[in-house]
Order: sequence, then structure tokens, then C-alpha cells
Amino acid sequence: MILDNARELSDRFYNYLLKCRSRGVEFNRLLMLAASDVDSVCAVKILLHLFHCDHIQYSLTVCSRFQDCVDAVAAAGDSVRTILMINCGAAESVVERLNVSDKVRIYILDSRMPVHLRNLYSAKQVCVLRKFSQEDIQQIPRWEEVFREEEQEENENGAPDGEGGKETDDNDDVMSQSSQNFRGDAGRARARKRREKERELREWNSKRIAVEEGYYKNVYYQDSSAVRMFELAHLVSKDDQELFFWAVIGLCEMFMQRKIGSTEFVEKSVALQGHVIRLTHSIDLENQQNFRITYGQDLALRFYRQWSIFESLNNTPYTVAIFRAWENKGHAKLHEFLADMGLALAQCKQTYSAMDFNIRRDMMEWFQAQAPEWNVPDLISGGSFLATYGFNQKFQINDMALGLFACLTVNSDKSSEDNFHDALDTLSKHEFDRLDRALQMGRDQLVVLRKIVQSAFEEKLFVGMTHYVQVCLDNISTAGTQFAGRPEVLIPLAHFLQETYVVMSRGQRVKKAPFVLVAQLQPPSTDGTGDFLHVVGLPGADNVAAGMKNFMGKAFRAAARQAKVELELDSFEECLVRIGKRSKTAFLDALIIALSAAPTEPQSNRH
Amino acid sequence: MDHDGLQANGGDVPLDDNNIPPPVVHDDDDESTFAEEEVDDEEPDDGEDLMENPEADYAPMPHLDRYEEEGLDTNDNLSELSFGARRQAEAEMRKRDREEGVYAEDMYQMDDDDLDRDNPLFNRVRDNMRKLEFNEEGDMPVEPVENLEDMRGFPLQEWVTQLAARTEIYNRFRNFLLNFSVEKRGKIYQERIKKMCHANLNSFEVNYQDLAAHQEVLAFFLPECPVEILEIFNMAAAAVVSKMFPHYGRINQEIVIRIVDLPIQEEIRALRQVHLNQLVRTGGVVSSTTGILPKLSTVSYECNACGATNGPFYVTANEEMTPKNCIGCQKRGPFEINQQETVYENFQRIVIQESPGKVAAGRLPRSKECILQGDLVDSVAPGDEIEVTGIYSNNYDGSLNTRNGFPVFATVVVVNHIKRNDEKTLALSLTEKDVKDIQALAKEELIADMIFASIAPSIYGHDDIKKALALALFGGVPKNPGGKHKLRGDINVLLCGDPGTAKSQFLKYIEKIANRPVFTTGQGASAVGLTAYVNKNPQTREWTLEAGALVLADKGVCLIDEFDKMNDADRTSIHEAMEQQSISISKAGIVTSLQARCSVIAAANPIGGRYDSSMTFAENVNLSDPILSRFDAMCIVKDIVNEDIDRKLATFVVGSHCRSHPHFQEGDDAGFLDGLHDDAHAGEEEPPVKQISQELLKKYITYARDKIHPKLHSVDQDKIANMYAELRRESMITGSVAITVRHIESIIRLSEAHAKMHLREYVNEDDVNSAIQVCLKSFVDAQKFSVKKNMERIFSRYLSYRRDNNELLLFMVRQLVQDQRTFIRMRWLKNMHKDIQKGLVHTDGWRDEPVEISIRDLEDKARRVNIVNLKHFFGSHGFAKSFKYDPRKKIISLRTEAGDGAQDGA
Repeated sequence: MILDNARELSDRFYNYLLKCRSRGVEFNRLLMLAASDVDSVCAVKILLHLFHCDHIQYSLTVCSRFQDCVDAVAAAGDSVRTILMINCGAAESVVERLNVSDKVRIYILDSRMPVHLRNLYSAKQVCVLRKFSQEDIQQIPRWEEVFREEEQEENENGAPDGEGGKETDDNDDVMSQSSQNFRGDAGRARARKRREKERELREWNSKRIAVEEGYYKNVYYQDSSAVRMFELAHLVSKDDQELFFWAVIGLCEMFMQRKIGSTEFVEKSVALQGHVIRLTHSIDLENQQNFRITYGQDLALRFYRQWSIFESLNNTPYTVAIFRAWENKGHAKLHEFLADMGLALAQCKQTYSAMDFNIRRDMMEWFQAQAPEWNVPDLISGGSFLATYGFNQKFQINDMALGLFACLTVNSDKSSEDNFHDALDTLSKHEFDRLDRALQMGRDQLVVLRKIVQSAFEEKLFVGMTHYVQVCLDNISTAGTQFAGRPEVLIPLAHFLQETYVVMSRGQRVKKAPFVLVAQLQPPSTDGTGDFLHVVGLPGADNVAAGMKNFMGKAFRAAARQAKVELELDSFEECLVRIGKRSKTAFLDALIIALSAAPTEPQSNRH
Repeated sequence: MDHDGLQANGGDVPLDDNNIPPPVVHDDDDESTFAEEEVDDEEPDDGEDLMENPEADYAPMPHLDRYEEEGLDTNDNLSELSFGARRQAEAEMRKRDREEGVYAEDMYQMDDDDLDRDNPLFNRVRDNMRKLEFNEEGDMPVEPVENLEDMRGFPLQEWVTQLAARTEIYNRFRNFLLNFSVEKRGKIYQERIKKMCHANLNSFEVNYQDLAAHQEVLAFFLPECPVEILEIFNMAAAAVVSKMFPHYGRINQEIVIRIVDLPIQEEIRALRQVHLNQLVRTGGVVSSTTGILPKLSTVSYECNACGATNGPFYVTANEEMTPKNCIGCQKRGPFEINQQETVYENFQRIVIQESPGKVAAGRLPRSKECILQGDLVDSVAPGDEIEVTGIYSNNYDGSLNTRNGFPVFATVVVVNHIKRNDEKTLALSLTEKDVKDIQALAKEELIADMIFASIAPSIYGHDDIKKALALALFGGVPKNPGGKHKLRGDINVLLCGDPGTAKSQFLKYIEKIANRPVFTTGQGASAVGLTAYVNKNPQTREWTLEAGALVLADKGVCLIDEFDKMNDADRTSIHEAMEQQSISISKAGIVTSLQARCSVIAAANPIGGRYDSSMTFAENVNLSDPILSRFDAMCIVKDIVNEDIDRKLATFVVGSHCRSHPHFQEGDDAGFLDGLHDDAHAGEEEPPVKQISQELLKKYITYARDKIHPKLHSVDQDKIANMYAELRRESMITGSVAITVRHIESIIRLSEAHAKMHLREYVNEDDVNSAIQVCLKSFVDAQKFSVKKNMERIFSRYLSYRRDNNELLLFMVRQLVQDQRTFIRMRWLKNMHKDIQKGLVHTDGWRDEPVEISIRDLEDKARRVNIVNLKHFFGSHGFAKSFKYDPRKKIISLRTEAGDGAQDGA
């Protein structure tokens, strides 16, 4: 079931929770399963605020892979009647995988697409809390195409292989309620013309597999969960400046991590801008020095407000790709750019807050004037959110999102639960120290990533295959580039590498070529086994820029099937898999074959 | 067009003011008369030499100095033209001229508003002018100067201040910067400006030679009146910069041109009155610098009465600008300096002194004050050898005035450009050709031997000293493990020996060839003179630190002669400098540590003047263990009577004197050379290796020191360890020279130096062996005569490294010959056994067959014992005596007469 518009969200989701509260002790506990990403941190933060207001009891479990969800539900046992899954679960058939009784209601709040068809077509038990545009609805296969009454028999006759088979297995439990009334008719029909039916069934089945494949092919993102929750808060009139701040972080994170394209980001942020005006207006009247969020043009340099312009230029992926300042030529180019703009090196190299006031004031104009000449239009972001805490320094919410991401991913020694709670605390009001620390962590992470990119270039680790570009970081020799952290950190790294490589090689083909990163993370101290490699797959760069639709997860699965390699999903991201060290060659060989068939398809199938 | 002719010959043409009509026949207006006349002058009738006696042209010739009657309007009663009529007539005439194409002089009339603006011909000219004109100074009338060198009778100083000339200079220099290009390197000045902007600097260098090649007039003006010209240059440069980088003004407003490579370099003592206010280039050693002080650049005053701000006034070196009247209220003051609008600039005074090497004998070095401004400040430190290009100017000095009773000026060089002559810049100054030569040289097989032989070529023998000194010149690699403490890379050498063994000669030679040498003698140096001393500055009355010899020799060589004559107390003061390479001072409230990264090369005499072989080194020399252990290599020179060697030495010395005579001619020394060579042959010495020219050697050393940093890769650690253990044991037994851990470091340093000599980036076996050899040699030499022989035997395998290669090779050749002969004999007996049985052939008949061995066999064999280079061996006497080498067939054959001898042996 889809709870599409905001009204339904408040009526059927939030009111349900309120009702639960009033019903009695045994039913009122809500189990929240949250993925450990920034968007979900923000969404949880907003929800917690609402729950505190309305005295809704909840328990929160942080999951980093789907197995965690299963364990959490199993541990909760029967005491839980309502489960809210945040940024997890949409891709799985939850009722079946979590193995819950039919009394349990599951709400899925997930920005990931596509949503599993079982979840969509569930009558009541599963609710998907998200917006579907007209286009999205059209992409969802119709009921008749994928479900049929006599599926039970179908499965018995001979299960189709692969995913289709797996999914059809699940079908009957979930659908039992909804398909109850069709059963009688179906029985009679089958008795009459069995043979014809069989043929028909086979046809239908192959068609169904094709349709499902088309539907599940690309993984992409839409609609930040945090923003969604903010809308809910707005409807129940409990929104305020802080909630808005969190929602914006969620949105910005999706943009910074390339989960949504810039057009979508601009659309969404313009929509949110209305809230900015509404919320700041009331604040301004009482206290100018309070927390404020503004929306406007800004430099698209990462962390430059806490850093120096020069360092920021040297580390922001976009400028790194263009200048590649570790090379002599790039270094000269960067200096020329600055000289052309009239920005003195001495000024650039000092902390932004210590820069000359006049320069700080005029710098935007200078950058704007030079950007077209140097062909760096994206150096100035069309719009970005800027937060100010009283007289404290301003910071870009984009940076804040990256900082939170670093909080969640940098430290692999602590459990992801601890990281999650740290991040939640960071968002609390008046925690300036924590904010600073988060920004610092984001900065450090960026520097580490930049160093890896640099050594990948210096050691010429890029291998251009016929159909994709590959980087193997597992045998990188430069000391100090061994890095630890959660595997999710590899995704921004892969983006960074891809962007730099594409700009450097300038080919149209390279732009379209998918990108594969193989890397080894330093194993966390608790886990002694270091024989795993992580593989990240990204679609072509042009695809990434337009809002990523990633088909690599599927390619990985196909390759694994072919090479008979065991794949493990170490996170909720399909494009990030873990393989054994020994099976690396076999897997990569299979991937070449899998991709040599695949790459033409995503282009044609995308729309 | 040549205006000189005009002024010379047309001097007596009455220059009219506008009211009198032109007295000349030509129907031109005033200005164009010159042009016409000049055209006439430019066509000489015949090819007479104009320069023969030019003064004759100026002699008055009354019979010629008359105007022709014909065409001269003698009618006195001219009607006065009305102003309008005159203008009209002039316009008419001008129009006609233009149609005729005579328009050059018309530029003077640019401001006339009745110009025929529709005339396309004229418009084109004006457009051209506009293109030339860079800055949009509105409608300021500036006529172009086509002949900049024609100063129209003004002195140069005045000429360059005139607007026309200034604009022309400005334009020309701007075009020079924009367009000057060198083949393959493109537009170097644009490139330089770009580089300057990248680094956010505000000055760049312009090569005078380039300027002279492209704009000789500017190059001619520049040294004559540098103040004005440089100002124009700077403006032009600023314009070019702002054209290339439109917003560079936000970073640096002022751009300064630095002139390099001015052709004539004057010594400090050669600066005279004629150089005043000219651009000069001079050089010397910086002897002291002041702190950096802010200097008023522009100043603004505030009127106390009305509060109006006057200024800004530009402050020059010798006058202070104060407003006469307030612009607001016309009062004459009082004024106060406005702090906000006053601009300061950095300012530093340094004193340069003539380099010690350049002072004429018997003179004291002179010094000159220099003023550094802007970004030149703090670019030099005391002790640096620099070359200064700047404006030699004078300033008024009251004290000099009263002392002399009439105005006398103090002179100072306002510096435009500084070039430091230290190792870094020297290495930078190596041209591509030099580098190519150096690298070609490094490929020579016997490069090390060549270098050893080229050290002090005027000294005969003493190969071990030369070797040690060469290694010291190249030096090791300084290291800094973990940033905690430094390990020195410089090599210290002690020469010790009998008088008259050329020790001081060696030191003097090193002084010539090394970078940054400082020469002192034991008697003339005190402890503080070597390290550093604290001095009270008479002007500021503050305690200042003055560098001593070792500090001045930082990154160079400190040479100390008569080391034994020094006080013990003084000698101990250099302990720190020799190992830690720093000098710590704590006196008079100054606690500091100075860098002294120099290698010390000292020469000492033994006690009592002569070295006594029956005593150990320590007993012979009055030097303590601590100091001895700090020397990496000790060379003991004994003056031993040996008739043969003495004879050769004498021949060499006589020959050397002969050759170095000022009036020496090629071939005079033939007799001596022959004698020398004969002797060499007689003594069975190896032929002398080729020597490297001293300039190239110097460059080679500079290059190696700067560019090459050999790494210790896979050094044979056991070898060093064994040798060290053996050395320790022997040293304990004999008690001559203490062997300490320092010696291991010494070996490493020496081997690094040896690798540097080959321009290798890694240290190989060969380097280590050579280093061990040098180190051991100095140890064994230090022993008593009685143990020396014994010790030489113990260490013979180290000591004889590379020395008896030839003997070994000879042995190998003999062995191969032997094998070959056996082979031939066996073959003979096998093939011919029937004939032998029949008695047709003699059993020993095989002896007539030629014995030939191929080079490859020998090479293979030699490679097994790490000998790669055989060329040298083939040239040796031992080889040539009994074998013949055929490079074409690549075989070695026996010499026939020697073959007989060998036969007997077989």
C-alpha cells in the first residue's frame, strides 16, 4: 500500500501511531529500524521530536545490513505490533523476510527505488511512505502482469530460476489476504481447460520475468526521508526551525552523495525555500541572533568556511578533477586561476574566517566572473543552504551532511549503533563543539579520499576495460592510504575517482563507461579476518550527474552467479558488495563478460 | 629620419616665430621645412666619409652661409595676414602636403581642431597611433617619437622626462615584454610574468642582453638614467600584467622590473664619480645587514587648522616632502602626519665588501652600502657572496660635510637586483651544455681516477691525499633520522706530514676549487674567530653576533693550516662544529646555535717538524683523541729519500716551473716531458689518466653536490662489520689511533662521496670498497713502522683493492694461454699421431701454431672477480710486455719474443 500524499501520511500513519498509544501498553511500542545513513539519522531525529511531543513509545534499532533488521525483529518477538523501517527494506519483501505475524503492521520509509512489488501491492500490512510521481507509477508493473491467482500451483509445477523464482516463492503468504476471494473461481477455471492454461501460464511467466527484470534493474533514489518526515511534522503543526534544519541536511546529503541529481535537488530545495521564509520570519522578530538558515548562491567548495580557500580547492572533488594540483601542471593552473581572479595566495591559504573582510565579501563575484572563462561553471552552486548559529560562524549544510556522513562511517571500531547515536547527538541544539568536530571529521575524510585519488593517479591504477573502467586499490603501495571505516565510505571514493578520471581522459566513451572500484578496507580491530574485498560499481558519469540510476548491483549478481562466487551485501547499497579475496580474479573476469552484454541496455531502458 | 643632420646643418636657419612667414623657398609651414631640408641632407653626392673630420662641418663658412637670391622673398612690405586668413592658408598647405604624402611632421598639429578629419589617409595614421598607444590617457596630445635616440638637444636626463619620449619608451618596452621571444622557448617574458603571478610575487627579471638585442635604444638609455627609465619600465610592466591578469591589482599593485646580466661588472673599488646615478653591477660578500625597517613611501598630512588631508606625497631617498600650503585653508601649517593614508615599504641596509679573492695584494677590502627595498629585503644574509645590480647614487651626509669643510657625499647603491652566488644558484647557473658535458664525463669508465688525478695537478704524487681530498670535495649525504638529530655528511680530512710536502699547496688548491671556502691558519685563528663572536655594535649599542670562519664556511669547506700550532683551548672549540655541525653560543645574553655544516680540511706538522716512523701517530702529532677521531681520513705524508722518485719529482717541478712561466711557449718543455715519460716507462708505471679541466671539474663537483644524493641500498653490512671489528682489535693492541663508531659513519660517508663522484644514485660494492680502502689506509699509516708491515699484511685484502687488478688479470691471461696451449698440443698429437709415428712431423711441431685467446674468455673470467673494465689493463706495461691485443679481431696473442720465454716455461 502506498501512502502517497502528505494528508494520508498524517491520517493513516501518524494517527495510527497515536491510536496505538491510546490503545494500551502491549500494543503501543513502535519498533524503529533505521539504516545508518545520514538521511535516516535526520529522519529519526525529526520523528523522535514528534514522538517526544506526543508521548509515543518507541524503541530504536540501528541496522547496517538487512540481516540486522531480521535479528532485531526476531529479538523483539511478539511485543511489537508496529514496525517503522527507515531507509531500509523497500527492496525486500519485508513481511516474508522479517517473518512477522500478520498482526504486525510495517511502515517503510525509504528513499531507495524501486520498491519491492510485494510491498507495493500489499493490501494493508505493509505501507510504503513515499511520494510517487506520475512517472514512477507508470513504471510499476500492473498487478495482472506480475501476480496471478494460481501462483501456488505455478510454483509447484516448476520454479523459474533466479530472482523471479525467489520472489514467487514469497508470494502466497503475503497475498493470502488479498487473493482470498479469487480462489473459488480459479479452481473451477483450472479444472476446465488445464492444458491451455499451462501454455498461457508459461507465456505469462516469461513475460512476467521480463517485466520484473525491467522494473528491478536500476536502483535509484528519490525523495529524502527526512524531508518526508518534515512534511509530516508540518502537517501535524509541530515543525520548527530545527526540524527544518534536519530535513535540509537529509536532502543535502542525498545531493552530496550523488543520490539525486542537481535538477531534482534544486526543485526540492526551492520547494523547501518556502519553509525557510516562513520559519525565519517568526524567528527574526524575536531574536536576530538565533539559529538561522538562509538559502542562496554560494561557492560549491567543500568545507571552505571552516578551512582555507586554497585547501578547499585542493580537496573538493570537482576542483581536484579539473586542476589535479598534485601535478606540476595542475599546480600552475590552479595558481593561474587564483592570480587571474586576483585572489592573493596569502589570503587563500589562511583560514576563511581570518581572510580579509573585503575579499570575503567580494569573492563570490570574482568567482562568478571567472568561472565561465575557466569553464568551471559548477564552482558556484545555484543554491545552497547556509546555517548560522547566533554569532558563530556560518556553515554550509552541505558540509554538515558530509560531516555527519564521516561521523557515521569513519569509525569502524565503534558499533554502528554508537556512531548513529553520536550523529543524533551532533544534531542536538547548541552542540557547537560536536558540530565543529563533525565538520572536522568530514574534512579529514575528504583529505584522506583526496590522497587516495592522488596516489591512484600517480601509480596509474586506472584500467580501462572495453566496457568499463576499473580501479583496484587493494594493492596500492603508497603508505598511509590504507584506510578504515564502514564500507559505505567507498561509494564517495568511487565517485571521486570516477569524476577525476573522466575529466582527465575527456572521452565521450569514458563518460558513459561504468566504473568499478575494488578496495580493501582495513579490517576493524574487532573483526580479525581481513580477507575480504569490497567492490563498488557506478554507472557512467553522465548517468551519475543526472541522478544516479545504478544497474551495477544487478551486474554484480550476474557475474557472481557466473563465477560461482559468494556475494555478501555489507550494507543496504546494492552496488556495494563484499567478496572473498581469493575469488577476486574469477569475479572480475565474470564481470567483464556480464558488462560486455549489459552496457547498452541501461541507456535504452532508462526512460 | 635623421634629425642630427638637421640640427647640425640647419643651425643657422633663423627659426621664426609664427608671425614671420617662412624665409625659405619651400612653400611649407614651419615644421615641414626641417623635414624637407633633412631629406636633402640625407642624400650625399658622393661616398665621402662623413666621419673623417666632422668638426669641419661646424666651421663657419660665411661665403656659403647665405641664401640664394632666387626665390627669396625680399619684399619687406608684407601685408600682415589676419589670423583667420593665416589659418586658412596653413590648412590649405597642409592639405596639399597630405595629398603628397608628407604627413610625418603633421603630428605636431594633432590638437588643432580644424583638422581634416575626413581625410582617410590621415585617419589611418591616427588609427595606427591609437593602436600604438596603450593607455587611454584621454585626448592628451602625444606625438610619437620615431627616433628615440634623437634627443632634440636635450640632455638625456631631461629627454626621458618629456612626455613624448616617456610614452615612446613605455610603448617600446611594453611591446618588448609582449613580443620578445626566443626560439623554442616562446615568449619568455609573458611566461615569466605568468610565473610571477602564479607565485603572487611583484617582480620579475628582465635580461639586459635581451633588451639590447631587441630594443637597443632602451638598453642604451637604461644605464644612463636608470631612475626614470625603470619607473617607466615598471609602469609598462604593470600594464602588461594587468592585461594578462586583469585582477592582479588586487594582489599586487606595483610591479618591479629587475635587470639582470648587465654586461659590465665593476669592482667596488672601481666605482667613481662617473658612475653616479647610473645603473651599475658590482659584487662582494655581505658583511652586515640591518634589521628590516619600515620606510615611508607615501605620506599624507593633515592640516591641524581645517582638518583637510594633503597628499599623498611621494617620499624619495633624499628629500622629505611637506606641503607648503594647506589645500583646504591655504595656511602654512602646522601639519600632522595622517597615519591611515601613509604607506610604508620594507627597507634594509646591507654592507657588501669586496670578496677576499678579489682584493688586490696589499690592499684592505673596501665596502659599500646598499639599500634593499620591497621584496629584496632579507634575501641575503651576512657571508653570502652576491652580485648586485643597482643605481649608484649619492646622499648628503652632514658629518662628512663638516669634516671636510665642503660638500662631500656618501654613496650608496639602491639595489634593483641581487644574485646570490651560492651552491644552489651555482647549480642553477649550469647551462644545458654543461650538464651534458658532465653527464658524458660521468660515463667515463675511470672517472674516479680521472678526478683523483685532476686534483691539484701541479703537485706530483701523493695519490692518497688527492683521493681523500676529492672525496671530501664531493661529500656524503647528510641525514636526519626521525628529525631528532643530524648526521653530518661532510668529510673532514687531516693532512699531516713533513715540511715541504705540499700540504699548504693542497689547501690553497682546495680554496680555489671548492664552493664557499674559508681559509685560516692555526696561528691566525682564535677560538671565537673560528666559531662566532659577540660584538657590541657601535651604532645601536646592542650585542650582536658575528660569524666566525666555520659559520661563514657553512655548506662549504673550512681550511685550517698549521693545525698543530693552534692553542689546545682554541682547538677544542671546533669539536662541536666538526661533529654536530653547529656552534652553540651563550654569552652576553645571547643564547643561540649557529649552523656550521662545513667539512674541515686541516694540515698539521708532526712534533719536532719531522714524522718519526718509529712512533705512533698520536705520539707524533700533538693532537688529542677526540679531535683525531673526528677526522674521516688522515693522510700521513713522509718525506722519504728515494733516488728514483726524487729524480722524477725534480723533473716534474722543473717542468712545472718551466711551463708556468709567463712567457712560456708551446714546445719549450719537450725535453722535460720526454724525460718524464721516459722515467715513467722506466719505472713501469701505468700511463697517466686523462685529466679534467679545472673549470669542468668545478662544475662537476657543483652538479654532483647539488643533484646527487646516493642511497645506501644493499650495502655489504658484514664486510663493514668485520672490518670494524678487526680495526678495533688492532687498534687496542697497538694503541695508535683510537677507532670509534665514528669510523663506521666515515666509511658510509666516504662511500657516498665515491658514489657521488660517479653520479650514481645508489652506493654499490665498489664504493664501499674504495671507502674502506681510504679509511684503512689512514689507519695503517698511523701505525709504528714496526707494526705497519704486519698490519698491511692483515688488511691486505682491503688495501689492495683495485690495485693489483692488473696482476690478477695478467695471471688470468697467462692461465688462458696455458690452457690454449695444452689444447693445441692435444689436438696436434691426436690429428698428427700417424705422421708422428711415421716421423714425418716432429712431436713438438705444435709449438709453431699461433696461440690466440679471445677477449670474451678473458672478460668472462674477469667478470667473475668483478672486474669489468679491461681497457686499462690492455694499456698497462705488464700486459704490453708479453702480449699483443688486437681490438679488431678481439683476440690476444703472444708477442713472439716473449712467446719464446713462455715456451720454455711450458
